[in-house]
Amino acid sequence: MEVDKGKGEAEETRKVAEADRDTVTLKSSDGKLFEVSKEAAARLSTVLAGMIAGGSIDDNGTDLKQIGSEALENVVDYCNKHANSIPSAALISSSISFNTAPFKEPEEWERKFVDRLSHDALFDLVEAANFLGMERLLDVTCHKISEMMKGKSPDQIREVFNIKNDYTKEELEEIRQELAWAFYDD
Amino acid sequence: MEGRFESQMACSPPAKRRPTHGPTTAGAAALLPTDMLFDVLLRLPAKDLCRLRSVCRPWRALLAADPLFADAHAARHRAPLLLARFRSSSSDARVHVVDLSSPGGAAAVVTRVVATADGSCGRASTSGDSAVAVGGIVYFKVDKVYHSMLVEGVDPGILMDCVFSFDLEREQCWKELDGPFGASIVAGDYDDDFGDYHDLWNQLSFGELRGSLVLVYFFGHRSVMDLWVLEDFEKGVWVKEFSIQTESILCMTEVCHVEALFGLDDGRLVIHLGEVLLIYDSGTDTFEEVEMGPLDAVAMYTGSLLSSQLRNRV
Repeated sequence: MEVDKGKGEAEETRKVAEADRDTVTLKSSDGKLFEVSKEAAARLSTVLAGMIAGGSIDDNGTDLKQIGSEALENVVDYCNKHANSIPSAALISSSISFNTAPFKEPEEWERKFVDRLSHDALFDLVEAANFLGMERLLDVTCHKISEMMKGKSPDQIREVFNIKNDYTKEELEEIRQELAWAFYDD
Repeated sequence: MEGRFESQMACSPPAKRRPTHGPTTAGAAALLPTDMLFDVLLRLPAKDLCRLRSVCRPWRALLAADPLFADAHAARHRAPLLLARFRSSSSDARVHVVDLSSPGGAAAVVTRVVATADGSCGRASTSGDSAVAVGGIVYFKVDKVYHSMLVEGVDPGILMDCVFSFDLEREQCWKELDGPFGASIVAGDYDDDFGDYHDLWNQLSFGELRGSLVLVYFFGHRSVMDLWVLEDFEKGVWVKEFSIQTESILCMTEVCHVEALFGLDDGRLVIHLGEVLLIYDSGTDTFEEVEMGPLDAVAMYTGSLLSSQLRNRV
């Protein structure tokens, strides 16, 4: 009985300690562990906020099986850089008007953050942001990809984004004629 | 978007990717799932998107035929579109769509020829000189005959800035309104001041602001453009909303006439002056000339560049 009681107390203490921790540990699909500010994670990711609130955070590393270690490292890096830089009220108001509001321009550091990424890393990060419900990061990454598309010809787009042309020559010519104005350079 | 996040909060497995990019080559690099591609493409200007229809069939389906996408795009790209007809092309009477959202905002891009019709698209503005339709009512200013009457010494019995209205729905003449300033100007003996009085007739034109009639009174030689808004049609209440200093565009104002004027949603004014198009920002009190060919007529365009059909509401 004595022992059991002691064990219960220890459990209790551990739980309190866990609740007091100001970081959460995330585990990538390939088993790597990353620490991220709990406050930033909850503020920037609706999914992580839900898990923290719901108590489904594992102290030994919360499994995020859909996210590889490189993408998760970028997510964590982004969260930690972002810690305390945007008040949550701003995020809340942005999500209310989300469907019609003009897009917000990324901040300078956010630009730099995505500029240094390789093509594949950027795409993986978009998906990770989407999976974790990170609206702001999704905004920043989608903005970057749209920048990559701006002013490019359909040929260039296919090359950069690895898309196969499934049109016949005749169909392409038809589209070009129909939308001739869009193909002129300004 | 919201739904997407919610489903993931419940920790459901991610939706299976739909093949949005069309067939890919072997060893494909990372591809974007549909909804993220949607988010990315939403950020591009309409002109880029029209060009990107030729990337592959799935993109065309999204960019040319998806009303959801077109609506979402329109909601996020609120930059005004104008219909314009140019003097140089007046022989074939084509109407162009002008996109004012180009980077930097200074230069407009003539993007698309939408009609080879008789120019009916531009009716609201081609006629802004002597008549304008606002909210189902057509307003006319006094005719040239008025001028002839004055020359011949006949008292026309009305003032120079008198405005006549015609109700389009009821198909009847409604009422004549006294203009905002005629009385004070012609109170004296206007025979002595005949030159000015004649000028007044030339200096008047119509415009539209937030659904109300605007009487534009442009003294080119004094570099002032007054905008009188008809606040109350029944009582004939005019309010001088703007008195714009036009020194900065002086070189073109001496001999020019305001052909059309209308307000944009963001409060800026589009002014068709002579052959040029100016955007006036009352906040900064600056004019910006839209770079394009000599303008014949202009009107607002509320359709979408993404839709194949011209939604012709002017």
